[in-house]
Amino acid sequence: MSTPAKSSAKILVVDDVAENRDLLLRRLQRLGIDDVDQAENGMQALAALAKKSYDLMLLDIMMPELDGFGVLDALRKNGHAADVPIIVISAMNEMDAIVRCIESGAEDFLLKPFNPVMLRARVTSSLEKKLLRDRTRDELRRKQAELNEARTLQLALEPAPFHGIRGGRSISLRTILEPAKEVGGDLVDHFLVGDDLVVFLIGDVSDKGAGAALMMARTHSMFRGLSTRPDAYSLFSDPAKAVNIVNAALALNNDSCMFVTFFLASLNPSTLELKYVRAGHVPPFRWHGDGAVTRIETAGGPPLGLVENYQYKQDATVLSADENVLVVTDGFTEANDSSGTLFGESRIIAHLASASMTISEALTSLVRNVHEFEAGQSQSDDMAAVLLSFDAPVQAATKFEAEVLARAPDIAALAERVGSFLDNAGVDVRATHHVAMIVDELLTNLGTHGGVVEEPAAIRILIEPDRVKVEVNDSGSPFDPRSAPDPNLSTSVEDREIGGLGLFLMRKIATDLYYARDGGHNLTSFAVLRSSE
Amino acid sequence: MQIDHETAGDVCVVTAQGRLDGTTSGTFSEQVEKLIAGDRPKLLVDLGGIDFVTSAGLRAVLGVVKKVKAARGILAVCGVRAEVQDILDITGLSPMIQIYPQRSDGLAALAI
Repeated sequence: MSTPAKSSAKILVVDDVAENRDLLLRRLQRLGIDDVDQAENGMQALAALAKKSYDLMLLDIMMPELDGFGVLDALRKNGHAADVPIIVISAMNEMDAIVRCIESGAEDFLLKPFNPVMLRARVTSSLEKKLLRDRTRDELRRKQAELNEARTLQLALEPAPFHGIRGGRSISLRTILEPAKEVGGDLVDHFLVGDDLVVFLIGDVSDKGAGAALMMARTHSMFRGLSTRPDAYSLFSDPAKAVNIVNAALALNNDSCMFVTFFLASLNPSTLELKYVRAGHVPPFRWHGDGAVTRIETAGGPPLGLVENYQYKQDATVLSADENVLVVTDGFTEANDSSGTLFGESRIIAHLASASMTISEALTSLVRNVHEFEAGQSQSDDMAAVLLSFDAPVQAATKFEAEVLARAPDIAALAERVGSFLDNAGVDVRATHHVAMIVDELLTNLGTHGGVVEEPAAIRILIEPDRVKVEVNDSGSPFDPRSAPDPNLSTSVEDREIGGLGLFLMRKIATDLYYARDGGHNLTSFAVLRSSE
Repeated sequence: MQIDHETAGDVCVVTAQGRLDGTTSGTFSEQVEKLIAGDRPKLLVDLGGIDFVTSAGLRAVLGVVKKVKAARGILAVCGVRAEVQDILDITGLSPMIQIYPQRSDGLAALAI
């Protein structure tokens, strides 16, 4: 009689008495098991286990060199105790030793002299258990691999930070996305509609895990889809229109009544008017540089996905240029410490109002605070956040906007215009040269490596009290200037490679160098510090 | 980009003016390379009139330095403006090029 478990089984027989090994070998062969190796003592057994994986080991207890106890101890210490099931072989008068072996991890025992029926029963049973365990483990591994892949895909839905110049203002959008399990139901996104409507959104699906992740991805991609429609500007400048469309789609055939608490806002950077829809989501936090925190409370309707024909209401507010807006999901507010106390909104407000907080670190330090609060407890819920901030407001006279084709004469002419503009605005010679040179380098690189570029690149420059900020937006092939390798600067003139020098200069000189690829465009931004002279 | 040259003893003094970037670096290389003549040539390039340089310009300077070295000669530069010197420093090129503050310093050094 042969079962799938037995026919291909690999067994190691460990006994110092040759007659015992031969007897077991023959008995196992009669059971249809041919792949049987032998070891004469514990040392040989460990050496064999290190070389080959076995489905079962028949282990004698009393042996020279290293006995059965020693083998069990060694396997436990090197973490391989669970790899191979072990049946200990022993005489009737060694019951205490058998008990000790079972306690040390052996699965079963056989008494000498061998009874063929007992041997068959024990071996078959152990092999079948092993097969089931292996199948379960493989299945778990496969599921884990799938989940890991899903997590990678989900995390890729989080957009790169936006640092751009729109409406004469330097605007930043930063995000956080941290699923509690492999995948989660929180979503966060931002994008531009047209050239200057800044849209950001955040949502929290009413569940965790794979189902929530699918709902999250659906919601995310539907808004992305709307943003590419010809009427996108109309849909997002009155954001209730966009929200109505997505809600209707999510609510259709939603028998499980899964829903999404949601907040979406669109900002006109010139007027700083923020139009928004809050659908059952945690009210956003809004605060000035001085730290006083207020909330955006107006409710626009129920969470998405529940009422198919609901007409959401939008509200509007005008931000001032020293204000920031933070929207979080309840993974922040409902994080627990070990006593069950919630992190709560008050701790978020305290964090935002604290004098030591800087905008660039606001999200990462908030996440750190939450994790410290949880103090090793596993993260209870998915966390997502989006933060809108403005850098120092600027006067119209200190901004420069131009479009240029990436061809050498046009680039040279633009670099000269940039130099004159900065010079006339009173920027020091060094910073002026740096900015004009980096603009030249970026565009030259675009012209050389960006592919055929018929569309002009857009350059925006802002002069701030302590620095000059620059944004370059082009439709060349994807290129992250932060990732190009540095040239070798240590070689002699003769050996010096001459490529990569321009980008090297850029990385050396520029601060706050950011890059994002969005909608077929490279969005590169950087700053050059002005000297105090 | 305007390039002139004159002779002072056995030194060829080159004066470059304007912007040294992707559109002018070719002219710069071409004009200066023409002046590399004979064995052990001595060139002094006065960069006082260069107020803008990009990596393309640096590559052109590096290119003529290599050519002069290959002819076993010397190429020095002088009058480098602070903003251009800054770029030479950042790229680590300064130690590889003989740089003198004034034209007279360069001539004195090359005369030896």
